[in-house]
Amino acid sequence: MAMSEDRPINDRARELLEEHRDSIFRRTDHMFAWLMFFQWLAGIGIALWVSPFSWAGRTHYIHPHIWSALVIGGLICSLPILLANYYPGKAITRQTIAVGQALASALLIHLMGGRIEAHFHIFGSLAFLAFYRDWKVLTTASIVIAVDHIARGLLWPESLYGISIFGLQRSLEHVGWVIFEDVFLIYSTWISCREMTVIANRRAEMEKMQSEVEREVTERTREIELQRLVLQESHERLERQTDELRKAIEASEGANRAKSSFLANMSHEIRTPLTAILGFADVLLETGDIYKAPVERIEAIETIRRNGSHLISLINDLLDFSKIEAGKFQVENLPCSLHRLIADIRQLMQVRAEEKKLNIKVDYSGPIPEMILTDPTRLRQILMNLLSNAIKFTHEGTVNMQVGLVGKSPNRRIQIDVTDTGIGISEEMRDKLFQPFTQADGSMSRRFGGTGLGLTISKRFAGLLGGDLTILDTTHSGTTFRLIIDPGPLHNVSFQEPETTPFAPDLEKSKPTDTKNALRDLRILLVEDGPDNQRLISFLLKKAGAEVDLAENGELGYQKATAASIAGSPFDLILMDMQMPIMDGYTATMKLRADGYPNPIIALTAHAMAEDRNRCIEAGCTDYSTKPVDRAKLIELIRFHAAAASV
Amino acid sequence: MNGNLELTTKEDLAPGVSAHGVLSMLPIVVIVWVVLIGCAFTALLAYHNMPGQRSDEAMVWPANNAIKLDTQRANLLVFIHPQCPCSVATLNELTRIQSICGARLNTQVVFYSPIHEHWEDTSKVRQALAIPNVNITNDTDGKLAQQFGALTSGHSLLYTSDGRRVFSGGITPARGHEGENLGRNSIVQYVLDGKTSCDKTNVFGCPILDSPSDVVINSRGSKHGDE
Repeated sequence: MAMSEDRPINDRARELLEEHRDSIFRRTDHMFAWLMFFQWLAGIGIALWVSPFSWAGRTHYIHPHIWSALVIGGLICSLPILLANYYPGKAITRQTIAVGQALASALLIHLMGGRIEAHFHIFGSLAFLAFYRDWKVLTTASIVIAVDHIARGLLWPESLYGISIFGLQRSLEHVGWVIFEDVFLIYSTWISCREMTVIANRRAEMEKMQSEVEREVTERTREIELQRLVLQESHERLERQTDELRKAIEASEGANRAKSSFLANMSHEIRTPLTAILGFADVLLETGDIYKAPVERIEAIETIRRNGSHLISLINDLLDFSKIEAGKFQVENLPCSLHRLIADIRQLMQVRAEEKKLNIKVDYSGPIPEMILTDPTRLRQILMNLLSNAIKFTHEGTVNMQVGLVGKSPNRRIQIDVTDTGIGISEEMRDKLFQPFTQADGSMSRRFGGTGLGLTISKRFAGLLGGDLTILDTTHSGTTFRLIIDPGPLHNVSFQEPETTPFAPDLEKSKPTDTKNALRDLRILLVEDGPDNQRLISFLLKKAGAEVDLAENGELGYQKATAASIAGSPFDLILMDMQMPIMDGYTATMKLRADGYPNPIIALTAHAMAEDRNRCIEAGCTDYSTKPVDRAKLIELIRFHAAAASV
Repeated sequence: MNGNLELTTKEDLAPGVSAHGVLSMLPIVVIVWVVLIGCAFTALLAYHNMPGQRSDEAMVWPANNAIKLDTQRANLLVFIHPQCPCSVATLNELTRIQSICGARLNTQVVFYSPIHEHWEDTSKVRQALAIPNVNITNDTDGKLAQQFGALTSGHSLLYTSDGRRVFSGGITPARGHEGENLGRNSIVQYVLDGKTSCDKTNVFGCPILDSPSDVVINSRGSKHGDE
């Protein structure tokens, strides 16, 4: 029985000692069984070798020695072998073996004619019997040897010693030697048993410790298993949640994509009719003697134009915002002159500021880099938005721009503060200001106009440009917005300290391009699917002196352009709408370029994002113009590229 | 010996006999076993101490053509069956006698030599030839043995120089056993002192003849001389 914690160690030690002794008894029993069997065979062998036959004259017969070796030897080893096989480990078995072995010695001595050398078998047998580590076995064997010696010493000393005299004395001497050996053997047996007892005690202690360790390990394992189960449950829950979250994200992304796609498509679909609305509003204002028309009609046309423009800016903001929200907005890194950009914006916004009798001032708080690395389009958009807001909410006073370079290398930043003397922003609105579709209150939109997306988009753009947009200060007498952007690496960049802001050419005030005969003698192919835009754009181009041919889709445009080239009179320029049925503008342009068409192709698209422009250029377009078309810009663009191509 | 330690007697016992029953009978079995061995030992000892046949009629040197009486020395005749395994002890004892007596004794080892058998070169003959001052005589068909009354291998006869027999018997203490014995001592004593303490001992060995005629079996003890 294995050691349990509540079992006394002594009990287990005794049990282990008994087990050990039993295994020794069994093992030794079997050793003796084999030994006695071989002794018997050896006895028969010796008898056969020494005295195979007994003779009577010429007649011979089996020598009685062989029968005695066979019968007596067989008798001596039979019972010990049987008991060793069937009752190993039993006391009677080893006692019988002890008697048998002693008798085997007696027989051997007798058959060897009492030779003194044969007596060593006795000592060998006793040493072998000591394997049992049982003093009783040695005692039994010694008693049998003593009885045999004394009896034969008295009765037949010749069979023991080969001589017929001094039998008893010699027997006593031999018994003395046997006892002498027994003393040492029994002592070594006692020592061995004591060591076995110590080993058993140690094993019992070890087993007790092991059982304690096992119990501890079992408990720990159970705890670990419980923790593992808890962890597994948590893991599974987490996986479920992750899965749900992933699905939610996918759904959200899907919804976002759908929203973005919807917005992009809607913006395209809205821009197309707006092109016609704004274009024809311009046509109405410029056709005939408009000054003779009633004031109400002119105001109505102006209202149409103003609302159209607002709608365009709203669509642009929505498109930008949806792109930013979808994480698809990419900014460019182009070298640009900050002075020039600020001067352009100032001049552009000055027109609107003067309408409200405001002045826009630009101050530089130190030298700034001549060139910075940023996305000028987005920077322009942010600054225009800030200035637009400042002008919008300021009734009197000034709008001030403070430009400077702050921070230490390598973390230097461009800082632009836009300060107005307007109505200010309430405390509760400050936090909501950069949230989409938020204005100071619901009436703001009606009072001041705007989409409510401007600041949101501007803040996101500022982040994309490596900076931020914050409200620095606001009171009832004005507000300061602070824009910080990353100017890019500034080593090897020269700095300048502008004393006066250089003026960009005033586009608004400059003499507008004379579009009357700007496109004289030019053959232009207009590829456009919308009938309204076909009529509007072809009207504008024809008015500018161009000869216009129309195609309703990319395939027809491609065929017409190819046919004209084959005929030897290719079009000077192609205006290609990019979103069309049957074959879009991208495919048509790529096919034309693949055929080696050399003349300019200007893309017309309602998708006004930077990546849309890139996609057009990659398809092989020379330049790009957005819908709704700006008549003057479009004509100037066509004229420029036609001239460049003719050179 | 090839048993499985785990097997008990249950499988090997006769039906109806319990292991406990067998165990309780074991002491009896052991006692019977010891008694049987004791009996076998006794029988063996009895065999070893059972003297061979003999005839003590030749009290004086019988007339023969094969061996001449040495009138200057005592004459010792040792009759040996050349195939008898027990006679090795006799020849060893003779060696001891010769080592003491040497040339003062005319020793003849007479080997039984039946016709049609070639026993002139057995281990006993070679052993006898190795003993100093010993003559070997072949006894054709055992005629000399018949004449001298030596019917058992190992039978030794000591005659005086004038032909009187002073000793007849074996020179081993038991069958095939060497060692101190009366026969050897008597011969040596006569050669050294001219007298014997014993004139007759038992002979232990194989019969020399197939069917000896007129044998007288004297199976017990020895008869001491009257001197």
